[in-house]
Amino acid sequence: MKKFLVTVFALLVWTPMLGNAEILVVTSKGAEVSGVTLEDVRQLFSGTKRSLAGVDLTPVDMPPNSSVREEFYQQVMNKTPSQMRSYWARMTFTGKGNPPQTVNSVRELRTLLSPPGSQYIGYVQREDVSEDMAVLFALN
Amino acid sequence: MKKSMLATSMLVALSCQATAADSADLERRLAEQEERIQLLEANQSSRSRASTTDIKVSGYVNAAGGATNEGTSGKSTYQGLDGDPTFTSLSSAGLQIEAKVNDRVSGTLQFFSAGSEDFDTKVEWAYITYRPSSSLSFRAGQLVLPLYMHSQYQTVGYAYTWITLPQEVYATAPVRTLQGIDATWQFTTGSIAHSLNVAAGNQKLDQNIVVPVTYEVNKSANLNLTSNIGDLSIWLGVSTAEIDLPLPNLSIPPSSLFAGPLAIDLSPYSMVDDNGLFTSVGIQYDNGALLFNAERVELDFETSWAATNIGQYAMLGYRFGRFLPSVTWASVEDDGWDLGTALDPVAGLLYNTIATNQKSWTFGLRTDLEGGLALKAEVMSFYDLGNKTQASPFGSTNSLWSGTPDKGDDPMVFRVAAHLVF
Repeated sequence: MKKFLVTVFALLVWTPMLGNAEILVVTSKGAEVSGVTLEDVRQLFSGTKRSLAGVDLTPVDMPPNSSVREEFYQQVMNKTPSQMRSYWARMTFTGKGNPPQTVNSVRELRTLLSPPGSQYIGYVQREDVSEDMAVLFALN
Repeated sequence: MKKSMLATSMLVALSCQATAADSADLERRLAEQEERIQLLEANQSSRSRASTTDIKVSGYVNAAGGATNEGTSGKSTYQGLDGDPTFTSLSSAGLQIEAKVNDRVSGTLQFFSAGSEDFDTKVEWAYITYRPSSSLSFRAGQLVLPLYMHSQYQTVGYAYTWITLPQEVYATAPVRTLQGIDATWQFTTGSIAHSLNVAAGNQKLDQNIVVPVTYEVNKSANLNLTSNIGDLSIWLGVSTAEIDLPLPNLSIPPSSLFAGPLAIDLSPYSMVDDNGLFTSVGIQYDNGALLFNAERVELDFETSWAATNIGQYAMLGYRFGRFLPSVTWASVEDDGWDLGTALDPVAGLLYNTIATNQKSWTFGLRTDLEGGLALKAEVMSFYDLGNKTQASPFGSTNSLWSGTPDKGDDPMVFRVAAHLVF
Protein backbone atom coordinates (compact mmCIF):
# COMPACT_ATOMS: atom_id res chain seq x y z
CA MET A 1 0.00 0.00 0.00
CA LYS A 2 2.84 2.35 0.96
CA LYS A 3 4.65 1.55 -2.30
CA PHE A 4 1.46 2.17 -4.23
CA LEU A 5 0.98 5.58 -2.60
CA VAL A 6 4.61 6.51 -3.26
CA THR A 7 4.20 5.49 -6.92
CA VAL A 8 1.00 7.51 -7.29
CA PHE A 9 2.67 10.52 -5.66
CA ALA A 10 5.72 10.17 -7.91
CA LEU A 11 3.50 9.98 -10.98
CA LEU A 12 1.49 13.00 -9.89
CA VAL A 13 4.65 15.03 -9.41
CA TRP A 14 6.52 13.66 -12.40
CA THR A 15 3.83 13.71 -15.11
CA PRO A 16 3.23 17.49 -15.08
CA MET A 17 7.01 17.99 -15.07
CA LEU A 18 7.21 15.94 -18.26
CA GLY A 19 4.68 18.24 -19.92
CA ASN A 20 6.76 21.28 -19.06
CA ALA A 21 10.16 19.80 -19.90
CA GLU A 22 12.08 21.77 -22.49
CA ILE A 23 12.29 20.00 -25.84
CA LEU A 24 15.31 20.46 -28.05
CA VAL A 25 15.54 19.76 -31.76
CA VAL A 26 18.81 17.95 -32.39
CA THR A 27 20.94 16.56 -35.16
CA SER A 28 24.35 14.97 -35.38
CA LYS A 29 27.50 16.79 -34.34
CA GLY A 30 29.18 17.94 -37.52
CA ALA A 31 26.00 18.44 -39.56
CA GLU A 32 26.43 21.76 -41.34
CA VAL A 33 23.09 23.24 -40.35
CA SER A 34 22.45 26.39 -38.33
CA GLY A 35 19.95 29.23 -37.92
CA VAL A 36 16.99 26.85 -37.76
CA THR A 37 13.58 28.44 -37.13
CA LEU A 38 10.33 27.01 -35.77
CA GLU A 39 8.88 27.16 -39.30
CA ASP A 40 11.83 25.09 -40.58
CA VAL A 41 11.14 22.47 -37.89
CA ARG A 42 7.43 22.48 -38.73
CA GLN A 43 8.12 22.04 -42.45
CA LEU A 44 10.71 19.30 -41.94
CA PHE A 45 8.47 17.27 -39.63
CA SER A 46 5.42 17.76 -41.87
CA GLY A 47 7.24 16.59 -45.00
CA THR A 48 6.84 19.88 -46.85
CA LYS A 49 10.59 20.50 -46.70
CA ARG A 50 13.32 17.88 -46.93
CA SER A 51 16.50 19.89 -46.58
CA LEU A 52 17.99 22.88 -44.79
CA ALA A 53 20.71 25.05 -46.34
CA GLY A 54 21.25 22.39 -48.99
CA VAL A 55 21.63 19.59 -46.45
CA ASP A 56 19.11 16.75 -46.78
CA LEU A 57 17.67 15.90 -43.37
CA THR A 58 15.61 12.85 -42.37
CA PRO A 59 13.23 13.51 -39.47
CA VAL A 60 12.99 10.93 -36.71
CA ASP A 61 10.04 10.54 -34.33
CA MET A 62 10.10 9.38 -30.74
CA PRO A 63 7.87 6.39 -29.82
CA PRO A 64 4.11 6.68 -30.38
CA ASN A 65 2.19 7.74 -27.25
CA SER A 66 5.38 9.09 -25.62
CA SER A 67 4.84 12.38 -23.81
CA VAL A 68 7.81 14.03 -25.56
CA ARG A 69 6.31 13.25 -28.98
CA GLU A 70 2.88 14.47 -27.98
CA GLU A 71 4.34 17.68 -26.53
CA PHE A 72 6.58 18.23 -29.58
CA TYR A 73 3.71 18.08 -32.10
CA GLN A 74 1.46 20.16 -29.89
CA GLN A 75 4.09 22.91 -29.76
CA VAL A 76 5.33 22.70 -33.34
CA MET A 77 2.17 21.85 -35.30
CA ASN A 78 -0.66 22.64 -32.85
CA LYS A 79 -1.88 19.10 -33.46
CA THR A 80 -2.77 16.08 -31.33
CA PRO A 81 -1.50 12.58 -32.24
CA SER A 82 -4.81 11.73 -33.96
CA GLN A 83 -4.69 14.98 -35.96
CA MET A 84 -1.14 14.11 -37.03
CA ARG A 85 -2.30 10.65 -38.05
CA SER A 86 -5.02 12.24 -40.18
CA TYR A 87 -2.43 14.60 -41.68
CA TRP A 88 -0.11 11.72 -42.59
CA ALA A 89 -3.02 9.77 -44.07
CA ARG A 90 -3.39 12.68 -46.49
CA MET A 91 0.31 12.75 -47.30
CA THR A 92 0.67 8.98 -47.68
CA PHE A 93 -2.30 8.56 -49.98
CA THR A 94 -1.24 11.61 -51.96
CA GLY A 95 2.12 10.04 -52.62
CA LYS A 96 3.72 13.15 -51.12
CA GLY A 97 5.50 11.37 -48.33
CA ASN A 98 5.45 9.08 -45.35
CA PRO A 99 5.58 9.85 -41.64
CA PRO A 100 9.03 10.09 -40.06
CA GLN A 101 10.83 6.94 -39.07
CA THR A 102 10.13 6.11 -35.42
CA VAL A 103 12.79 5.13 -32.88
CA ASN A 104 12.04 3.11 -29.76
CA SER A 105 14.11 5.15 -27.33
CA VAL A 106 16.45 8.10 -26.86
CA ARG A 107 19.29 5.59 -26.95
CA GLU A 108 18.24 4.51 -30.44
CA LEU A 109 18.08 8.12 -31.59
CA ARG A 110 21.57 8.59 -30.16
CA THR A 111 22.73 5.58 -32.17
CA LEU A 112 21.35 7.15 -35.37
CA LEU A 113 22.96 10.50 -34.62
CA SER A 114 26.29 9.16 -33.39
CA PRO A 115 28.15 9.04 -36.73
CA PRO A 116 29.49 12.60 -37.22
CA GLY A 117 27.62 14.29 -40.06
CA SER A 118 24.69 11.86 -39.88
CA GLN A 119 21.70 13.53 -41.60
CA TYR A 120 18.97 12.72 -39.12
CA ILE A 121 17.03 15.29 -37.16
CA GLY A 122 15.13 14.46 -33.99
CA TYR A 123 13.94 15.91 -30.71
CA VAL A 124 14.64 15.10 -27.08
CA GLN A 125 14.08 16.54 -23.63
CA ARG A 126 16.95 18.69 -22.39
CA GLU A 127 18.18 16.08 -19.91
CA ASP A 128 18.52 13.55 -22.75
CA VAL A 129 20.88 15.65 -24.86
CA SER A 130 24.23 13.89 -25.22
CA GLU A 131 27.67 14.98 -26.41
CA ASP A 132 27.21 13.57 -29.90
CA MET A 133 24.10 15.71 -30.51
CA ALA A 134 24.05 19.25 -31.89
CA VAL A 135 21.14 21.38 -30.68
CA LEU A 136 19.41 23.20 -33.58
CA PHE A 137 16.40 24.75 -31.88
CA ALA A 138 14.81 24.93 -28.44
CA LEU A 139 11.04 24.83 -28.01
CA ASN A 140 9.27 26.75 -25.18
CA MET B 1 38.96 -11.81 22.46
CA LYS B 2 41.90 -11.34 20.13
CA LYS B 3 40.89 -14.45 18.31
CA SER B 4 37.41 -13.21 18.00
CA MET B 5 38.56 -9.77 16.71
CA LEU B 6 40.92 -11.41 14.26
CA ALA B 7 38.16 -13.63 13.02
CA THR B 8 35.86 -10.65 12.62
CA SER B 9 38.55 -8.67 10.77
CA MET B 10 39.17 -11.56 8.43
CA LEU B 11 35.49 -11.93 7.79
CA VAL B 12 35.15 -8.19 7.02
CA ALA B 13 38.21 -8.33 4.76
CA LEU B 14 36.88 -11.34 2.93
CA SER B 15 33.46 -9.74 2.69
CA CYS B 16 34.97 -6.52 1.26
CA GLN B 17 36.96 -8.55 -1.23
CA ALA B 18 33.83 -10.43 -2.16
CA THR B 19 31.86 -7.15 -2.50
CA ALA B 20 34.61 -5.64 -4.62
CA ALA B 21 34.64 -8.75 -6.76
CA ASP B 22 30.83 -8.67 -7.03
CA SER B 23 30.91 -5.00 -7.92
CA ALA B 24 33.54 -5.52 -10.63
CA ASP B 25 31.61 -8.46 -11.96
CA LEU B 26 28.41 -6.44 -11.95
CA GLU B 27 30.08 -3.58 -13.82
CA ARG B 28 31.52 -6.00 -16.36
CA ARG B 29 28.10 -7.59 -16.88
CA LEU B 30 26.46 -4.19 -17.14
CA ALA B 31 29.02 -3.13 -19.76
CA GLU B 32 28.31 -6.33 -21.69
CA GLN B 33 24.57 -5.74 -21.46
CA GLU B 34 25.03 -2.14 -22.58
CA GLU B 35 27.03 -3.28 -25.59
CA ARG B 36 24.42 -5.89 -26.37
CA ILE B 37 21.55 -3.42 -26.13
CA GLN B 38 23.37 -0.99 -28.44
CA LEU B 39 23.97 -3.77 -30.94
CA LEU B 40 20.35 -4.90 -30.77
CA GLU B 41 19.09 -1.35 -31.14
CA ALA B 42 21.38 -0.71 -34.08
CA ASN B 43 20.10 -3.89 -35.71
CA GLN B 44 16.52 -3.01 -34.85
CA SER B 45 17.05 0.45 -36.26
CA SER B 46 18.45 -0.81 -39.53
CA ARG B 47 15.71 -3.45 -39.74
CA SER B 48 12.95 -0.88 -39.17
CA ARG B 49 14.53 1.42 -41.73
CA ALA B 50 14.55 -1.38 -44.25
CA SER B 51 10.97 -2.38 -43.54
CA THR B 52 9.61 1.18 -43.78
CA THR B 53 11.55 2.20 -46.85
CA ASP B 54 11.66 -0.96 -48.93
CA ILE B 55 8.05 -2.16 -48.80
CA LYS B 56 5.35 -0.11 -47.14
CA VAL B 57 1.77 -1.30 -46.96
CA SER B 58 -0.95 1.10 -45.89
CA GLY B 59 -4.67 1.16 -46.31
CA TYR B 60 -8.03 2.46 -45.28
CA VAL B 61 -11.57 1.24 -44.66
CA ASN B 62 -14.69 3.38 -44.86
CA ALA B 63 -17.65 1.62 -43.25
CA ALA B 64 -20.47 4.06 -43.80
CA GLY B 65 -24.20 3.98 -44.16
CA GLY B 66 -27.33 6.02 -43.92
CA ALA B 67 -30.80 6.74 -45.15
CA THR B 68 -32.89 9.58 -46.51
CA ASN B 69 -36.14 10.89 -45.10
CA GLU B 70 -37.78 9.82 -48.35
CA GLY B 71 -40.29 7.01 -48.51
CA THR B 72 -39.14 3.50 -49.30
CA SER B 73 -40.50 3.60 -52.84
CA GLY B 74 -36.94 3.89 -54.16
CA LYS B 75 -37.90 6.58 -56.64
CA SER B 76 -35.25 9.03 -55.50
CA THR B 77 -31.80 8.38 -54.02
CA TYR B 78 -28.77 10.38 -52.90
CA GLN B 79 -25.39 8.67 -53.34
CA GLY B 80 -27.26 5.36 -53.41
CA LEU B 81 -29.20 6.07 -50.19
CA ASP B 82 -32.98 5.88 -49.99
CA GLY B 83 -35.56 5.49 -47.24
CA ASP B 84 -34.15 2.11 -46.18
CA PRO B 85 -30.92 2.31 -44.16
CA THR B 86 -28.02 0.72 -46.02
CA PHE B 87 -24.27 0.36 -45.50
CA THR B 88 -23.48 -0.63 -49.08
CA SER B 89 -23.33 2.45 -51.26
CA LEU B 90 -21.01 4.57 -49.07
CA SER B 91 -18.64 1.84 -47.88
CA SER B 92 -15.26 1.31 -49.51
CA ALA B 93 -11.71 0.19 -48.83
CA GLY B 94 -8.25 0.74 -50.30
CA LEU B 95 -4.89 -0.95 -50.00
CA GLN B 96 -1.68 0.79 -51.03
CA ILE B 97 1.66 -0.90 -51.56
CA GLU B 98 4.75 1.22 -52.02
CA ALA B 99 8.01 -0.44 -52.97
CA LYS B 100 11.16 1.62 -52.72
CA VAL B 101 13.81 0.31 -55.06
CA ASN B 102 16.40 2.84 -53.95
CA ASP B 103 16.50 6.44 -52.70
CA ARG B 104 15.40 7.71 -56.13
CA VAL B 105 13.03 5.12 -57.54
CA SER B 106 9.83 3.65 -56.11
CA GLY B 107 6.64 2.03 -57.34
CA THR B 108 3.14 2.52 -55.90
CA LEU B 109 0.03 0.43 -56.39
CA GLN B 110 -3.32 1.20 -54.84
CA PHE B 111 -6.32 -1.11 -55.02
CA PHE B 112 -9.77 0.30 -54.42
CA SER B 113 -13.07 -1.40 -53.82
CA ALA B 114 -16.40 0.42 -53.39
CA GLY B 115 -19.83 -0.80 -52.37
CA SER B 116 -21.37 1.47 -55.00
CA GLU B 117 -19.58 -0.68 -57.59
CA ASP B 118 -20.48 -4.05 -56.02
CA PHE B 119 -17.08 -4.10 -54.29
CA ASP B 120 -15.34 -4.89 -57.57
CA THR B 121 -11.66 -4.29 -56.87
CA LYS B 122 -9.83 -2.08 -59.32
CA VAL B 123 -6.47 -0.37 -59.54
CA GLU B 124 -6.86 3.23 -58.47
CA TRP B 125 -3.18 4.11 -58.68
CA ALA B 126 -0.28 2.41 -60.42
CA TYR B 127 2.77 4.56 -60.94
CA ILE B 128 6.53 4.75 -60.80
CA THR B 129 8.20 7.64 -58.99
CA TYR B 130 11.60 9.02 -59.86
CA ARG B 131 13.03 11.52 -57.41
CA PRO B 132 16.23 13.10 -58.77
CA SER B 133 16.52 15.37 -55.71
CA SER B 134 14.82 15.82 -52.39
CA SER B 135 12.64 18.63 -53.78
CA LEU B 136 11.73 17.26 -57.23
CA SER B 137 9.81 14.13 -58.22
CA PHE B 138 8.36 12.68 -61.41
CA ARG B 139 5.62 10.06 -61.63
CA ALA B 140 4.34 8.02 -64.55
CA GLY B 141 1.39 5.64 -64.76
CA GLN B 142 -2.19 5.84 -63.51
CA LEU B 143 -2.45 8.88 -61.23
CA VAL B 144 -5.25 10.70 -59.47
CA LEU B 145 -6.35 13.70 -61.53
CA PRO B 146 -5.40 16.72 -59.37
CA LEU B 147 -8.54 18.79 -59.89
CA TYR B 148 -9.53 19.64 -56.31
CA MET B 149 -7.87 20.64 -53.05
CA HIS B 150 -8.64 17.21 -51.53
CA SER B 151 -8.72 15.18 -54.74
CA GLN B 152 -5.65 13.06 -54.05
CA TYR B 153 -7.22 11.45 -50.98
CA GLN B 154 -10.91 11.81 -51.72
CA THR B 155 -11.53 8.10 -51.10
CA VAL B 156 -9.77 8.18 -47.68
CA GLY B 157 -12.54 9.17 -45.27
CA TYR B 158 -10.21 9.33 -42.25
CA ALA B 159 -8.26 12.17 -43.88
CA TYR B 160 -11.07 14.74 -43.75
CA THR B 161 -13.92 15.93 -41.58
CA TRP B 162 -16.93 14.78 -43.60
CA ILE B 163 -18.16 11.23 -44.31
CA THR B 164 -17.78 12.00 -48.01
CA LEU B 165 -16.41 15.21 -49.50
CA PRO B 166 -19.08 17.78 -50.47
CA GLN B 167 -20.56 16.40 -53.69
CA GLU B 168 -21.61 19.87 -54.85
CA VAL B 169 -17.89 20.39 -55.58
CA TYR B 170 -16.42 16.90 -55.83
CA ALA B 171 -18.98 15.58 -58.34
CA THR B 172 -18.36 18.45 -60.78
CA ALA B 173 -15.96 16.55 -63.03
CA PRO B 174 -16.81 12.96 -63.93
CA VAL B 175 -13.15 11.88 -64.10
CA ARG B 176 -11.03 10.94 -61.06
CA THR B 177 -7.90 9.35 -62.49
CA LEU B 178 -5.50 10.03 -65.32
CA GLN B 179 -3.09 7.92 -67.34
CA GLY B 180 -0.03 10.05 -67.78
CA ILE B 181 2.85 11.75 -66.04
CA ASP B 182 3.31 14.44 -63.44
CA ALA B 183 6.09 16.42 -61.81
CA THR B 184 6.10 17.96 -58.35
CA TRP B 185 8.54 20.61 -57.16
CA GLN B 186 8.70 21.54 -53.49
CA PHE B 187 10.27 24.89 -52.70
CA THR B 188 10.10 27.69 -50.16
CA THR B 189 9.86 31.46 -50.39
CA GLY B 190 10.69 32.87 -46.99
CA SER B 191 8.58 30.98 -44.47
CA ILE B 192 6.05 29.78 -47.09
CA ALA B 193 6.39 26.18 -48.30
CA HIS B 194 5.07 25.54 -51.81
CA SER B 195 4.32 22.43 -53.81
CA LEU B 196 3.96 23.02 -57.55
CA ASN B 197 2.52 20.13 -59.54
CA VAL B 198 2.04 19.70 -63.29
CA ALA B 199 0.29 16.67 -64.77
CA ALA B 200 -0.57 15.56 -68.29
CA GLY B 201 -2.35 12.57 -69.76
CA ASN B 202 -5.59 11.03 -71.00
CA GLN B 203 -8.60 9.20 -69.63
CA LYS B 204 -11.87 7.73 -70.83
CA LEU B 205 -14.95 6.57 -69.00
CA ASP B 206 -18.53 5.49 -69.59
CA GLN B 207 -21.21 7.99 -68.68
CA ASN B 208 -24.91 8.60 -69.12
CA ILE B 209 -25.82 11.72 -71.09
CA VAL B 210 -29.39 10.91 -72.20
CA VAL B 211 -27.93 7.57 -73.34
CA PRO B 212 -24.82 5.60 -72.30
CA VAL B 213 -21.78 7.19 -73.97
CA THR B 214 -18.01 7.03 -73.75
CA TYR B 215 -16.48 10.26 -72.49
CA GLU B 216 -12.86 10.82 -73.48
CA VAL B 217 -10.50 13.32 -71.89
CA ASN B 218 -7.52 13.88 -74.16
CA LYS B 219 -4.44 16.07 -73.88
CA SER B 220 -5.30 16.88 -70.31
CA ALA B 221 -2.89 19.45 -68.86
CA ASN B 222 -3.06 20.32 -65.17
CA LEU B 223 -1.21 22.87 -63.08
CA ASN B 224 -1.72 23.32 -59.36
CA LEU B 225 0.03 25.05 -56.49
CA THR B 226 -0.32 24.37 -52.76
CA SER B 227 1.19 26.94 -50.40
CA ASN B 228 1.50 26.42 -46.66
CA ILE B 229 2.34 29.01 -44.05
CA GLY B 230 1.79 28.16 -40.43
CA ASP B 231 -1.76 26.91 -39.98
CA LEU B 232 -2.90 28.21 -43.36
CA SER B 233 -2.92 26.32 -46.67
CA ILE B 234 -3.97 27.70 -50.05
CA TRP B 235 -4.72 25.71 -53.20
CA LEU B 236 -4.91 26.99 -56.79
CA GLY B 237 -5.56 24.70 -59.75
CA VAL B 238 -6.25 24.95 -63.45
CA SER B 239 -6.81 22.11 -65.92
CA THR B 240 -7.54 21.97 -69.61
CA ALA B 241 -8.43 19.07 -71.86
CA GLU B 242 -9.87 18.17 -75.24
CA ILE B 243 -13.17 16.34 -74.80
CA ASP B 244 -14.56 13.72 -77.17
CA LEU B 245 -18.20 12.79 -76.60
CA PRO B 246 -19.79 10.95 -79.55
CA LEU B 247 -23.61 11.07 -79.34
CA PRO B 248 -25.80 8.62 -81.34
CA ASN B 249 -28.74 8.91 -83.67
CA LEU B 250 -31.49 7.70 -81.34
CA SER B 251 -34.43 5.68 -82.51
CA ILE B 252 -36.93 5.08 -79.72
CA PRO B 253 -39.47 2.29 -80.40
CA PRO B 254 -43.21 2.87 -79.89
CA SER B 255 -44.37 2.64 -76.30
CA SER B 256 -47.36 3.43 -74.14
CA LEU B 257 -46.25 7.07 -74.13
CA PHE B 258 -46.34 7.58 -77.89
CA ALA B 259 -47.58 5.56 -80.83
CA GLY B 260 -44.93 5.75 -83.50
CA PRO B 261 -41.16 5.32 -83.35
CA LEU B 262 -39.37 8.48 -82.29
CA ALA B 263 -36.08 9.44 -83.91
CA ILE B 264 -33.79 11.98 -82.29
CA ASP B 265 -30.49 12.56 -84.00
CA LEU B 266 -28.04 13.63 -81.30
CA SER B 267 -24.95 13.18 -83.44
CA PRO B 268 -24.74 16.86 -84.53
CA TYR B 269 -24.29 17.66 -80.85
CA SER B 270 -21.29 15.36 -80.40
CA MET B 271 -18.17 16.90 -78.90
CA VAL B 272 -15.03 16.47 -80.98
CA ASP B 273 -11.84 17.91 -79.49
CA ASP B 274 -13.92 20.45 -77.59
CA ASN B 275 -11.98 22.44 -75.05
CA GLY B 276 -12.83 22.00 -71.41
CA LEU B 277 -11.50 24.25 -68.67
CA PHE B 278 -11.55 23.41 -64.96
CA THR B 279 -10.47 25.96 -62.36
CA SER B 280 -10.35 25.60 -58.60
CA VAL B 281 -9.33 27.63 -55.58
CA GLY B 282 -9.32 26.48 -51.98
CA ILE B 283 -8.26 27.52 -48.51
CA GLN B 284 -7.74 25.59 -45.29
CA TYR B 285 -7.03 26.92 -41.82
CA ASP B 286 -6.41 24.57 -38.91
CA ASN B 287 -4.84 25.81 -35.68
CA GLY B 288 -5.52 22.57 -33.85
CA ALA B 289 -8.83 23.81 -32.44
CA LEU B 290 -10.49 25.96 -35.09
CA LEU B 291 -10.90 24.42 -38.55
CA PHE B 292 -12.03 26.23 -41.68
CA ASN B 293 -12.22 24.88 -45.23
CA ALA B 294 -13.59 26.54 -48.36
CA GLU B 295 -13.32 25.66 -52.03
CA ARG B 296 -14.76 26.86 -55.33
CA VAL B 297 -14.57 25.07 -58.67
CA GLU B 298 -15.87 25.82 -62.14
CA LEU B 299 -16.11 23.55 -65.19
CA ASP B 300 -16.57 25.20 -68.59
CA PHE B 301 -16.99 23.58 -72.00
CA GLU B 302 -16.55 25.15 -75.39
CA THR B 303 -19.73 23.51 -76.69
CA SER B 304 -22.73 25.80 -76.36
CA TRP B 305 -25.18 23.17 -75.02
CA ALA B 306 -22.78 21.98 -72.32
CA ALA B 307 -23.63 23.76 -69.09
CA THR B 308 -21.00 25.47 -66.97
CA ASN B 309 -21.33 24.26 -63.40
CA ILE B 310 -19.96 26.20 -60.43
CA GLY B 311 -19.54 24.33 -57.14
CA GLN B 312 -18.52 25.77 -53.79
CA TYR B 313 -18.59 25.03 -50.08
CA ALA B 314 -17.48 26.52 -46.78
CA MET B 315 -17.00 24.51 -43.60
CA LEU B 316 -16.39 25.67 -40.04
CA GLY B 317 -15.53 23.35 -37.17
CA TYR B 318 -14.16 23.55 -33.65
CA ARG B 319 -12.48 20.78 -31.65
CA PHE B 320 -13.61 20.15 -28.10
CA GLY B 321 -11.11 17.52 -26.97
CA ARG B 322 -11.75 14.46 -29.10
CA PHE B 323 -14.94 15.87 -30.59
CA LEU B 324 -15.13 17.99 -33.73
CA PRO B 325 -18.57 19.39 -34.52
CA SER B 326 -18.78 21.17 -37.86
CA VAL B 327 -21.22 22.87 -40.17
CA THR B 328 -20.89 23.01 -43.97
CA TRP B 329 -22.82 24.96 -46.55
CA ALA B 330 -22.43 23.77 -50.14
CA SER B 331 -23.85 24.77 -53.49
CA VAL B 332 -23.68 23.83 -57.15
CA GLU B 333 -25.38 25.81 -59.89
CA ASP B 334 -25.10 26.32 -63.61
CA ASP B 335 -24.22 29.74 -64.96
CA GLY B 336 -27.44 30.10 -66.95
CA TRP B 337 -29.00 28.98 -70.21
CA ASP B 338 -27.39 30.37 -73.35
CA LEU B 339 -30.15 32.34 -75.06
CA GLY B 340 -28.47 31.82 -78.42
CA THR B 341 -29.66 28.22 -78.48
CA ALA B 342 -32.92 28.81 -76.59
CA LEU B 343 -35.05 27.61 -79.50
CA ASP B 344 -33.20 24.31 -79.85
CA PRO B 345 -35.09 21.72 -77.77
CA VAL B 346 -32.44 18.99 -78.24
CA ALA B 347 -29.75 21.32 -76.96
CA GLY B 348 -32.07 22.14 -74.06
CA LEU B 349 -32.47 18.46 -73.25
CA LEU B 350 -28.71 17.93 -73.31
CA TYR B 351 -28.14 21.09 -71.29
CA ASN B 352 -30.44 19.87 -68.57
CA THR B 353 -28.62 16.55 -68.24
CA ILE B 354 -25.39 18.39 -67.36
CA ALA B 355 -26.59 21.54 -65.57
CA THR B 356 -26.81 20.87 -61.83
CA ASN B 357 -28.54 22.91 -59.13
CA GLN B 358 -28.48 22.05 -55.46
CA LYS B 359 -27.70 23.60 -52.09
CA SER B 360 -27.21 21.88 -48.75
CA TRP B 361 -26.38 22.28 -45.08
CA THR B 362 -24.41 19.52 -43.37
CA PHE B 363 -24.14 19.27 -39.59
CA GLY B 364 -21.44 16.79 -38.62
CA LEU B 365 -19.68 15.37 -35.60
CA ARG B 366 -16.34 13.55 -35.71
CA THR B 367 -14.55 11.85 -32.85
CA ASP B 368 -11.13 10.25 -33.03
CA LEU B 369 -10.44 7.03 -31.16
CA GLU B 370 -7.07 5.39 -30.66
CA GLY B 371 -5.22 3.65 -33.46
CA GLY B 372 -6.38 5.52 -36.54
CA LEU B 373 -10.11 5.03 -36.05
CA ALA B 374 -12.60 7.89 -36.42
CA LEU B 375 -16.36 7.83 -35.96
CA LYS B 376 -18.64 10.34 -37.68
CA ALA B 377 -22.32 11.24 -37.84
CA GLU B 378 -23.98 13.72 -40.20
CA VAL B 379 -27.36 15.25 -40.89
CA MET B 380 -27.74 16.85 -44.33
CA SER B 381 -30.55 19.13 -45.40
CA PHE B 382 -31.02 19.99 -49.09
CA TYR B 383 -32.85 22.78 -50.89
CA ASP B 384 -33.09 24.48 -54.32
CA LEU B 385 -32.92 21.14 -56.17
CA GLY B 386 -33.00 21.56 -59.93
CA ASN B 387 -33.95 24.83 -61.55
CA LYS B 388 -37.14 25.28 -63.51
CA THR B 389 -36.24 28.75 -64.73
CA GLN B 390 -33.56 27.66 -67.21
CA ALA B 391 -35.92 28.25 -70.14
CA SER B 392 -35.79 24.76 -71.49
CA PRO B 393 -38.89 23.13 -72.95
CA PHE B 394 -37.73 19.94 -71.28
CA GLY B 395 -38.31 20.98 -67.66
CA SER B 396 -35.72 21.66 -65.03
CA THR B 397 -32.04 21.07 -64.63
CA ASN B 398 -30.68 18.20 -62.54
CA SER B 399 -29.64 17.97 -58.91
CA LEU B 400 -27.28 15.41 -57.41
CA TRP B 401 -30.32 13.40 -56.34
CA SER B 402 -31.49 10.78 -58.77
CA GLY B 403 -35.06 11.59 -59.69
CA THR B 404 -37.26 14.05 -57.86
CA PRO B 405 -37.45 13.58 -54.08
CA ASP B 406 -40.92 13.02 -52.63
CA LYS B 407 -40.14 15.67 -50.02
CA GLY B 408 -40.00 18.31 -52.72
CA ASP B 409 -37.30 20.87 -52.01
CA ASP B 410 -36.48 19.72 -48.48
CA PRO B 411 -35.11 16.19 -48.50
CA MET B 412 -32.70 15.12 -45.77
CA VAL B 413 -29.96 12.52 -45.45
CA PHE B 414 -28.71 10.90 -42.21
CA ARG B 415 -25.32 9.21 -42.27
CA VAL B 416 -22.92 7.48 -39.87
CA ALA B 417 -19.44 6.15 -40.56
CA ALA B 418 -16.38 4.48 -39.08
CA HIS B 419 -13.13 5.31 -40.88
CA LEU B 420 -9.97 3.34 -40.28
CA VAL B 421 -6.51 4.02 -41.62
CA PHE B 422 -3.45 1.83 -41.16
